[in-house]
Amino acid sequence: MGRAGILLPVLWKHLIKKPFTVLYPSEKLTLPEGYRGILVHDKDACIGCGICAKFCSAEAIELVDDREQKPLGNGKIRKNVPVFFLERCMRCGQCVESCPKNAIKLQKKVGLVAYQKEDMTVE
Amino acid sequence: MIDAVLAVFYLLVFPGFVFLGVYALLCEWIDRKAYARMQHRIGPPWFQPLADLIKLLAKEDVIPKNAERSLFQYAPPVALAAAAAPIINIPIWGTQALYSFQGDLLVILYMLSIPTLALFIIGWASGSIYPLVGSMRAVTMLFSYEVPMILACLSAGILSGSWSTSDITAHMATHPLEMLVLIPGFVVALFALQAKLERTPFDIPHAETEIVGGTLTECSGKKLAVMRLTGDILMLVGATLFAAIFLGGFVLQNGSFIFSGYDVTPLTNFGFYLIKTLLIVFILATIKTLFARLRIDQMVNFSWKYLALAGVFQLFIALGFVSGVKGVA
Amino acid sequence: MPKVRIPVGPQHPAFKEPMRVDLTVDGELVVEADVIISYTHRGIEKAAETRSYVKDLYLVERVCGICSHSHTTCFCQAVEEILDIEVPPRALYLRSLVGELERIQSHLLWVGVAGHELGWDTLLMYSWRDRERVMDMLELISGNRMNYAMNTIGGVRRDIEEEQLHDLKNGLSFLKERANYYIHLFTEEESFLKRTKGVGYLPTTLAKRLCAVGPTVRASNVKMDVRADDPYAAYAELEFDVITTNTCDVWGRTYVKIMEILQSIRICNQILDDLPAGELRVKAPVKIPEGEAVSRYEAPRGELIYYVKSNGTDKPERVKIRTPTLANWLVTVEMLKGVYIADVPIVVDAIDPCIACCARMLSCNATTTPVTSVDLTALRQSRRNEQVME
Repeated sequence: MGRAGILLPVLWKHLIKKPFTVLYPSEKLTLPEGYRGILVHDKDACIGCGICAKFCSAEAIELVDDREQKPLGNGKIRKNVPVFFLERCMRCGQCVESCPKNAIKLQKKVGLVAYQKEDMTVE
Repeated sequence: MIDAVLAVFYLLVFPGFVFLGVYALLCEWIDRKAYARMQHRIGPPWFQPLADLIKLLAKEDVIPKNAERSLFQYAPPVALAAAAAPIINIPIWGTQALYSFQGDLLVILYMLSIPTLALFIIGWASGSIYPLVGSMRAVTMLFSYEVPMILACLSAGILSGSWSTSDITAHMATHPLEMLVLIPGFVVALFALQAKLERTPFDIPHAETEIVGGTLTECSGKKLAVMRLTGDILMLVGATLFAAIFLGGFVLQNGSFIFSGYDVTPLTNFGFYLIKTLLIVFILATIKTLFARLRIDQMVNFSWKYLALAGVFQLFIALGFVSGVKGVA
Repeated sequence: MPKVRIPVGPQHPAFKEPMRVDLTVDGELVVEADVIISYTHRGIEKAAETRSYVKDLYLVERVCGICSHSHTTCFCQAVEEILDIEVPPRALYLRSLVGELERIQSHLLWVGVAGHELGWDTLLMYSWRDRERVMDMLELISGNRMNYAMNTIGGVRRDIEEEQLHDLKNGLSFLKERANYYIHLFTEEESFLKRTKGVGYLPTTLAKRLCAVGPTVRASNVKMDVRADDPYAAYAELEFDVITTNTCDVWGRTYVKIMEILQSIRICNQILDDLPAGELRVKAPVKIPEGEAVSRYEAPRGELIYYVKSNGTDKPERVKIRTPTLANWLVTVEMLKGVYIADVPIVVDAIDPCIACCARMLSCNATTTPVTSVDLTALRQSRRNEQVME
C-alpha cells in the first residue's frame, strides 16, 4: 500500500522555479560541436565525381551539367556538378563521408525554412 | 422602476452573466497556469480562455445523423443557466445575498447538480458510442459524490442553525473559530467538487485516452463553447459556495472598514471574496496535478468508503458541537 | 446489458500511432478483443531490396524513430556476418554505448506515455523533461537527437572525444538520481498503484507459449534477454543484471523498465571507463558476396530479428525484419480479456507498442474487399490537371 499525493512537495517547489521550456526563437538553443545541421557545399573544391549522388539515401543530390566547365588540375574539365535539394536531405552525413575532396559539410545551424523552393536548393 | 432596472443589472452584469463569465475565464486561466507551472512548463497567457471561447463560437456546429436534435441542442443552455443561477443566493459582498430565503442551501446544491444531468442527456442523445459510455460513467459518479457533498454542506447548516446561506455566512463571520470544526467537511466538499467538475483524479466521464472525448465527443462549435463555459462557471460557483460556508464568508468580524472617510466595506468584502475563491481554485488545481485518474469502480469505492464516512463523521461532530458546547454555554 | 462493440482506433488519443483494437464489452468489462495493425505499412522491406546496402543503412534506421539504433546495428551485424569481417572493439563499445543510451531514452518516453494513458500528465511532463538530458547526450555523441546514423557496415562513423566524457558522466549521474526517484514514485504513489497492480495479468506459462518478448515477458518471471543469452557487440565483456519480477501485471512491467534504466546507466559507466583505443571501422566492400545471415538484438521493446540475404550485387535480395512489438500482439489480445474499458489503454501500452515498427503486411480479401490500386505518378498527374483546370 502506498501514500497518496507523493508529488506534493515537488509540485510546490516547481512553482517558483524557472520553467524548463526554451522560448525558441527568442531564446537560443545550445548546439554541440559536431551537430549535423544544414548542408553547405564548397563548389571550388568539388571535382564532379558524383559519389555523393550515388550514395545519398534520400536521393537529394542530382548531377547536372557544369555551366562553368571548370578546369581540374590534371588537364580534365569538370563536367558535372551536384545540386542538393535540402527539402529531401535527412542530414545523415553519408555524402560528407564519401566525398573524396571534403567539399560537403553539415554546419552547426538549424532553421531550414523558405518560401520558395529555389531557396532550398544548394549548388 | 429603479428596482426593475437594478434587477436587470444584477442579473446580467453583476453578479450575473458578465461578471460570472469574466471571472470564470479568469479562474480557468489561474487553474491552467498553476497546473502548467507545477509541471515545470510556462502555461497559457492571460487571454487564452477568452481566445478559446471565441474560437469555439466561430466553428461549425456538426450534429451526427443519429442524434436526437432537440435534446442535443437545448441541453447545453439549460446546463449553463443552472450553473449560473445559484450566484444570486450566495452572499458575495457581505452577509446578505441578493435573494436569500430559508432552504436556499439545498436549492443551490440541487441547481449545481443539473449540469451533470444535462451532460448525461447530451451523451445519451449524441447517437455515438463514446458519449454513451461517458454519460453512463457521469451518472454513476453522480450517485457517488452527491451524498458526501450534501452531508458536508448540511453540517455547516447544522452548526449555524439555519438552512440559508446568508445566515450561515453571518454566523461564521461572528464565530470564526467554528471554521476549525468544519475542516473535515471542507476536505470532503473539495473532493466532491473535483468529482462534480470531472477533473483528475475523477475525470472518468471524459477520459481522453479511453473514450476519446467522453460525453462531449460529438459537441462542437457553440455547444462545446457553452459546455466549457458551464464547467468554468460551475467551478466558480462551487468555490464561492464553499468559501462562503466553510471558509467563513467574506467579512471580517469587526464590521466596517473606513478609509479616508468612506465606508469601503463592500470593496474589502469583495476583495476577500476574490482571495478566498482563488485559493480554492488553486487547491483544486493542485489536486488535479497530483493524482492519476481512478477507474470508475475505484472511484465509487473511494466515495462510499472514505468520503461518505467522513461526511457522516463531520455531521456527528457538528451535532455534538451544537448540542454539547452550545448547550452548555 | 447487451454486448456492445467499441472500436478503439485507428484515430484515438490513446494510441500514438494508428492501430485498431475492436472491443466487445459487457457494461464496463471487456469480453473479447481483436487487434488490427498495419495501418502504417510503408513497404520498407521491398524498398530495401531496391537500394544499395549503404542507402539501406539509413532506410532501416527509419523503421522506428525510438529504437532506430537497434535497427541499424542489427542490420550491420547481419551484413558483417555474411562478409565474415571482425569489427574493431572500440566500434563495438561505441555501438553498445549508443544502444544503451537509446534504451534509457526509450524507457523514459514510455514512462511519460504510461502517465498520459493513466491521466497523470504531471508524470509525462517530468519524465520527458529528464529525457531531454539523454537526448542532449546523444546529440553530443552523434550530432542528432534521433536517428543517430552512428553505424556503418564494418564499424561506427563517429568517435567521442575526451572532453565529451565529462559531460556524459555528469548526465549519467543525473539520470541515476532521477531513475531512483521514479522507482520511489512508482512503489509509493497510491493512485498509480491502484491503476496498475493486478491489471493485465499474464501468467508465465501463457507468456512462454505465445512467445512474448522484452520487458513484457521479463515481468512474468521469464529470464530472456538477448544481451545475456546470445551476446553481441560488447556485451560479452560487460557486467549487468537481467531484471525479472514475478508480479505478471502492468506494475511489473513498469518496474522492469525502470530497473533496466539503472542497469543501462551501469553499463554506460563501464563502457566510458574501459573504452578501448583503436580504429573505428574496417573497410567493407560495396558488393556483398552471396550468403544469408540472421542477427538478433535486444531493442528496448524486446528481441529484434533481422534476416538478410545477399546475392553478390550491391543490393540485398531480401531483408526481413521481425520487430518485438509484432511478437507481443498475441499476448495483448489474451491480456485484454476480462479487464475494464478504462484499463484497455494502459494494458495495450504496457507492452510498449511501437506500431510503426511492426506493420509488415496488409491482408485483404480480393473477393469481398474491393481493391483498387493507383500509381503514384498518375495520381500526382491527375491532381496537377485538376489544379490547372481550376
